[in-house]
Amino acid sequence: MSSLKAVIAPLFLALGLAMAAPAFAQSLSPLEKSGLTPSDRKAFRLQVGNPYQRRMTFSLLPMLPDYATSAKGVVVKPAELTLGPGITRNIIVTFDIDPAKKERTIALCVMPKAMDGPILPRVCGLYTGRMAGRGG
Amino acid sequence: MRPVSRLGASVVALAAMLAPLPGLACSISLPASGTLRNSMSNTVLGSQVNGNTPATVTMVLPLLSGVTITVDPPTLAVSPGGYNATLETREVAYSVANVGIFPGRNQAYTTGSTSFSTGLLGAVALSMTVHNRVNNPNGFAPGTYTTRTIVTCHP
Repeated sequence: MSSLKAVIAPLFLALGLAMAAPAFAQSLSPLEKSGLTPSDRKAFRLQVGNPYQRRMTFSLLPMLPDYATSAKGVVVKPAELTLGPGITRNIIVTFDIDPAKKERTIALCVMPKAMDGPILPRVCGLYTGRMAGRGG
Repeated sequence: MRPVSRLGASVVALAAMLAPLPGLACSISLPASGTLRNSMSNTVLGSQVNGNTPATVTMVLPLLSGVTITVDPPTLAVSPGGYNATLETREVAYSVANVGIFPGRNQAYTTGSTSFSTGLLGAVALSMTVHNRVNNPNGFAPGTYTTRTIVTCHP
């Protein structure tokens, strides 16, 4: 029994220290948007916000609509954003549309950059571009 | 006049709730990170082992949009060098209280991804209680263990 306690005691201490992460939050708006483009590129202006208590750096990751696979042919400016409490800033996401197809939908996910806690809060939106004159 | 006043008060209250957010935003915050503890048999690490210390997640949702919340099973983000993960399984459980017409959601421990819709006209703010559990009959070597569960708000 004493050997079991000797093993567990360090675990209690280490876990307690590791899991004491501070609060954080992020927001993305709007969560869905679609629009026409005369070319094979489409851009959307979105808002990323830090509505809560402390300065945070967020990563903006373009993904496929499954929210799991990275999307290619997408540029997010800026791709990383540091915001003070209550600050909201515009970002621009631009993506290529295959001319052989009439539209493309991508996802954009916002998440804390430095995240060492047990919950990774993530807000993702869906954005669709349609090429004008191609059935869109 | 009285109904108008009530409506005005409601509008002011709603505006106050949404004021920190951009229009139709979905916002997630993490008020408490939770703590994992070891079982006496040294085969289970969990936030409901020898106590109850869940993580809590607060979501402020866009009104009238009916967003979906997806909770992925945890990964083990940090473990000590001598740890043998061969027989490890990782699970997540969560509960969301009913608010307004949102009926609430209770998810028992699962190793898979689960989702629920907040529904149109659903609650504006929800609080989720999240538990993680790691099972390993080989036991846990001394050191630091950290699980990571992705909670996603999406259309």
